[in-house]
Amino acid sequence: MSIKKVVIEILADKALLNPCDICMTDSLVDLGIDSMGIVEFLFSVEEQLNVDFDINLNLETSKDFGLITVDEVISSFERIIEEKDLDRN
Amino acid sequence: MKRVVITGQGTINSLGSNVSDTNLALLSGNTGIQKLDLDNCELLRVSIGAQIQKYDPHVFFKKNEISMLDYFSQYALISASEAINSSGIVISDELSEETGVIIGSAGGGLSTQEDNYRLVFEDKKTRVHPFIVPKMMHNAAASNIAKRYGLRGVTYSVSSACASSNHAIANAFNLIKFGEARVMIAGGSDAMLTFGGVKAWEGLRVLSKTGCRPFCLSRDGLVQGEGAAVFVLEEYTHAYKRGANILAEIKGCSMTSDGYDLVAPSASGMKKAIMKSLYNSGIPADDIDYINAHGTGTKINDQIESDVINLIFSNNRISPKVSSTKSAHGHVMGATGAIELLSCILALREHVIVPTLGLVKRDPKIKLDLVCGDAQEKRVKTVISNSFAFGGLNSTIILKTV
Repeated sequence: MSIKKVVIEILADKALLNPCDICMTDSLVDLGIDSMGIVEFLFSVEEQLNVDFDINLNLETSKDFGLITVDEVISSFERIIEEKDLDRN
Repeated sequence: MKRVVITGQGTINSLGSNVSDTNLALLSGNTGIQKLDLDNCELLRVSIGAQIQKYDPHVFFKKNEISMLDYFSQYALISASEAINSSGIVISDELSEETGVIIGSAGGGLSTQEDNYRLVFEDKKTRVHPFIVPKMMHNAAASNIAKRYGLRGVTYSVSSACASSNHAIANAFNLIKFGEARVMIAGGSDAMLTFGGVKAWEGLRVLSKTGCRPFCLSRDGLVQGEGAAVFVLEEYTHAYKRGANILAEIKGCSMTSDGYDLVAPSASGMKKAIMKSLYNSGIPADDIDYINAHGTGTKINDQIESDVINLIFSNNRISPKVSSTKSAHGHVMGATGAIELLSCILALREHVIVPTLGLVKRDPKIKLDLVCGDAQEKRVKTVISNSFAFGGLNSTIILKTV
């Protein structure tokens, strides 16, 4: 499953919406996901994709994380996974 | 209503196994934060903590006692024993009826649970040690202290995450204030530096890998610690008549709930907790000389706490000094408020303020009169100790010289 599909499905699940209602320009806060929701969202993505995001919410505060768009969240995850694959290779 | 004073104190934590070693370390600017010594440490993302180094239960307990005592009960007993001995109090049969124990803890007997889950689920053992329940129960620390000293007054445990020990002291204070007890043994104890305890905190993504740096521009989270601190609280005339060495008077406490979020700090909740403790103690904000901040070293807590302190104390003739000692003893969870009270008592008695360690570059948005780097001399008469916990639970304590 693509990273994009996983992220959208999890966000929809957390936000109690249909995946088709998730707009790529929405922020996590726009979707009604609070600080605890963000922590749980990161955990769910890690579980689904079997990756480990070493994200400290003190460096990228949960508030800031909540303000970036769905599109930006997906690309940042794609970048992290790509870097991890490169490291593995 | 009765006046309540502190006449004894005891502790064990990463800085020392008694009050004088701890105070010496705090004043010297030593930190107890080191590389963690835990089994399977390589499976943890975070490998630092304020662990009690080379802890050997056999130094403090008989062999047959150890099998009944989780680490959190051991730490509480060690601290209570020092507190009671240093207070010089003799608890007669009559007084024991009016003496109780309240110990706060966030995790309780966590290592007992963890070790035995492992035995059952991983090692497929079919039986566990018969004392798991009395070892792991949350009231084990309080009950073991009551048992050792034959105390028969109000005794229980409280749990309000990182405000647990302030809640314990506040509850004990109220019991004496309203005449329900004459003496209370109160404080907090936590032993959450277990593999599971650190793993669980890792999941919240708020732990620092680099160190605890409250109010620093580069602060990146909290560092877990372990240990206990316990105090003897006594009705003032009782303490005075027996010629006790009175360390400080508890003027007032607050216990409030944000009713808002389980993990995010709330400015209005913090403000209400501090204001209420000032109101309850009848002390004007202007009289506060020193604030021992909750100061966890997380981005959000330190900023909001700083803003709230500014809001309340900005009109003081002299700004109160502020420090966070978590950079020395770590965030000792349910025991942290009690351990921080040691620095408050030190400030009142020795007129010296324990510094905030680890501050590399001050965060320009933090507008506090911070004591950092070295201890600072200052005439201190009145202090506040803040604890703001997960669950949106707050408790602050105001102490004054007698």
